[in-house]
Amino acid sequence: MKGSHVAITGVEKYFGDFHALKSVSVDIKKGEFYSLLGPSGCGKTTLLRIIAGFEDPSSGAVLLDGQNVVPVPANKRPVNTVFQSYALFPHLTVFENVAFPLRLRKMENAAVKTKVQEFLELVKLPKEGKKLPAQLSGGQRQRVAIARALINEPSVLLLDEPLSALDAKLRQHMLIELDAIHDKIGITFIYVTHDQQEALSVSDRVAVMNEGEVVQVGTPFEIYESPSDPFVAHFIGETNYIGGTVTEVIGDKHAKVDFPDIGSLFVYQDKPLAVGDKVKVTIRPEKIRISSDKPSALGDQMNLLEGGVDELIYSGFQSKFFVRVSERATFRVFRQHVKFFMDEKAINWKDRVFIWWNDNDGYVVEVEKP
Amino acid sequence: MRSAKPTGKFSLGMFTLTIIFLYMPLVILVAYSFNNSKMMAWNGFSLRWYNELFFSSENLWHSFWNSAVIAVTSASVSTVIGTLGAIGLYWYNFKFKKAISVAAFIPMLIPEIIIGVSLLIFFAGIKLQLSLFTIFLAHTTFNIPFVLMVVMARLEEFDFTIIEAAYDLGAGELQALSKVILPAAFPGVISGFLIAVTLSLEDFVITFFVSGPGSSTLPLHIYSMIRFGVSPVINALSVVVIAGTVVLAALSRNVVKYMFQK
Repeated sequence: MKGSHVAITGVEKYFGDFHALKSVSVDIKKGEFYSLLGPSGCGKTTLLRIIAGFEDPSSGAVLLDGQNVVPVPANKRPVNTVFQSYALFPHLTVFENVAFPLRLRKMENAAVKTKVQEFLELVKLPKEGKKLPAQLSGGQRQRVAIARALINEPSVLLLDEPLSALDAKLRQHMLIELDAIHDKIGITFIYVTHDQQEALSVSDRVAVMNEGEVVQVGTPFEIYESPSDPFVAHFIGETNYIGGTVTEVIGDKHAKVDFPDIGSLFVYQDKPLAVGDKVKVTIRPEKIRISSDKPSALGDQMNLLEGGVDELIYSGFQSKFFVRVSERATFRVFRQHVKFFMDEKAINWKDRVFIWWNDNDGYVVEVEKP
Repeated sequence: MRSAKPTGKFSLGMFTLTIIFLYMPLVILVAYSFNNSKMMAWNGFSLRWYNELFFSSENLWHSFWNSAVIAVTSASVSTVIGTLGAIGLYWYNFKFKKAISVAAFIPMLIPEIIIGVSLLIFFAGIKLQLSLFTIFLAHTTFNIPFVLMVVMARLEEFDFTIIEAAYDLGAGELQALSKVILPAAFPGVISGFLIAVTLSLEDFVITFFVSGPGSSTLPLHIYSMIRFGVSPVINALSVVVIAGTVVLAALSRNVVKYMFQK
């Protein structure tokens, strides 16, 4: 693996009275595609700017392969950045933009030519070298910015919300290409985004940040399936988040929990639980099945509820249902349209429906001992 | 019912009046520069004033060259100082930044006559002989705020992350300045320089106070000629100046266009 091992240890940052980063520690492996995910103002961009060298941490260290780079100025760090606004030099052609770092090093003209061409091909812009940035589309500018940031062969590439200015289709496309570039170059990528879809789809690991703190670090799978914190459960995807009291512990993986207004449900748990504990449980809407017919022959530990459709939203590939199971409890349920919509038995507004899901699909996030 | 559609007659009328008001004097001036008579009455077409202007007005041409030299030198120096000042005020943070940026613009607001008097007293105080050099100093002084303002306006237009990008890609402070900031600010620098040249060429009031014997500029010379009646040579000179201005304006537009839209 190429690229650097990046360790951030106890980084604090104050802007005046504002505590932007609260003792952040993150460990990023060589060659990893690592995302910093969080809402705006959570400190992710500040952390990125500290790694790049545009900001100094108030305390703490940034280690590249074990060496503290905090005293090293930005122009001497083996780290390059793809900026949100692209930050292309408006007076230089695409070729000269990409060649900029090489010209600074006074590289020979012939060598510059081959190298720039190589990187323009990497980002699939081999013929646009003579154009000015103003003559390119947003996606093309993005590619130039990536080529320019990679040509110095940094050991870490920082990406600051690089796709936020592109439209949804193009974003998907660029994401796939970024992933391909990462596979090809193999250096460490640190990717800042507020878009959970982006983070989940390309990252090896994700650090979810909120209010200056890292709340959870894990693979996209772990972050989505077993959130460690109510913030993560809510921020990533949509969910049903309900609280209840443990009435029975079943083996070492499951429990029965009584939820006020809902009833008794089976849940999955990977924390030590005891009868009487108060727990918060997340149930993803896409894991819940819905039908107007009562399902027959459910397993022993399936959860089954009955309710009325309060609202339904058709969105092409799926429908969202808001199912009221009691006066004060509503579940959101997603149904994928795996067949032509009209072929399935229609569920209409105000219909009585049954919803059911597996015991493994309710996940205990928080435990409060009595 | 009357149609509410505007006919445009009023605005067309205003436009015509404005054009007449602005350009009529110039047209008359051009016409009289070809008048054979020294008086206001038309006495036939002639190029005699142009002949006199080009072949027997040595003092006038001497002043013209003085003006040209001062315009170019003071504009160059004030462009360098003003540009660096604008970059400094915009990009760097230092003590008294606010106070300095306000102080830099105040000379634009002070009446010229006061600047003229104060410069005269200052030069007398430090016992500096009034000459072309003092005119150069004065013009540089009043040009700096204008260049500063124009370059600042240009700097405020562009995305400052490009400077961070330059550092990020390995540029030092001087390289970021010479390879990114200055080229990006260049159109502003050029306009600043042209404005400085114009202001210097046309200045009368300040120059009047700080010029010494034998260091007359063109505006001063024209003023001194007018005191003995309007000579048609001045008409001819004005036509030459107008023609020169038109050519320069067109040229500079095309040069700027060529440089930034190739």
